Amino acid sequence: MPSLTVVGTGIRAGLQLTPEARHAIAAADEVFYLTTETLTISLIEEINPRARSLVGYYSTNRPRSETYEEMVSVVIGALDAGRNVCAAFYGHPGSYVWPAHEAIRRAHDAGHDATMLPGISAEDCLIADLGIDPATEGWQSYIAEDFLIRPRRFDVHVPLILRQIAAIGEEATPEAPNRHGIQVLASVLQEYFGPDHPATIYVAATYPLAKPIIDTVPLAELATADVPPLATLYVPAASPAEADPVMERRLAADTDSSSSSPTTAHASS
Amino acid sequence: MTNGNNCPFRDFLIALADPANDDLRTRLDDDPDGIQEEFGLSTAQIAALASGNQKKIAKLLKQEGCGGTYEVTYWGLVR
Repeated sequence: MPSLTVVGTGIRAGLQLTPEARHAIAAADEVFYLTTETLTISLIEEINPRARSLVGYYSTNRPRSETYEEMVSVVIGALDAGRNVCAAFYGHPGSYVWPAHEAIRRAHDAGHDATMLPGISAEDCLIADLGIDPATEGWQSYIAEDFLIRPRRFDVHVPLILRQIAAIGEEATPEAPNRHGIQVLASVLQEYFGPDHPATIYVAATYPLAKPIIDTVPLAELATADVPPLATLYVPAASPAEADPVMERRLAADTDSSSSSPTTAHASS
Repeated sequence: MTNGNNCPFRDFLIALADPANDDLRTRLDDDPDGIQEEFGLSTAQIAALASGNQKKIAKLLKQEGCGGTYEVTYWGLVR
């Protein structure tokens, strides 16, 4: 019975490819991969010589939505042809990877077995490299463009992670960072955090022995900072969130009394 | 493990990317000259690895021109 296994390659070539992902790549009849990193490409093709790249569907003048749709069609086409398919995506296949989720959904709709295996994402690397524990202050993460065009209520007391800051306002794959988009982002963030608040431009290490790119600048200088193509922006919290004394008292109370406690700040927000 | 092709830097990085070759990291620290000779690496390539500078490593990898049929773009390699 044909099946689809979607895996992540991790960020650092080879070393972050999990054993179960490696097995899925090796065992598949057909492997499709989406990574632009030459070492990872070589490794995947070494594990399974039948592996084929999906990168060719990218074009600098083509809307990414069209590109993603075609990638999904190719993967599902192989599945419909009765093959055991593995689709390998850069980082974690379920983190900011629309084609991976869509391929799983369509495979299920067609009655096929489809599984996603977790991988190591850029945010996992950021947590390790910047020494951040989401348990301490929380975590809020968005694609930078989506953060701007859908002005959600976000919390300045929680670290803010913005992905793909070089591609704000770009429908197609850009040839250079979109400076205007970065300027708009810098301006909006300064409204909330002020011009002196730090922000870290981060790129996880791609190669063995390489160190991550970590460049911390005041928000006032973000618009002119060097922004590598796969950069993520980390904006630390403005200040720690205050504890809610009503909730603290409620949690300290016994079960019977807590069930009838008055509304707290959490419940009313 | 002397490299017989024209992509020694790429091939050395691929070797490093295999967890089974963890001893290469130790050898690179202990005997960089020996590694350089064994794998046919340049002084600049050894220095880039020692520095851990991702941009330098990427630049040297690009200069080596072993992306196959891939074109190096701002976003990476595009076939």
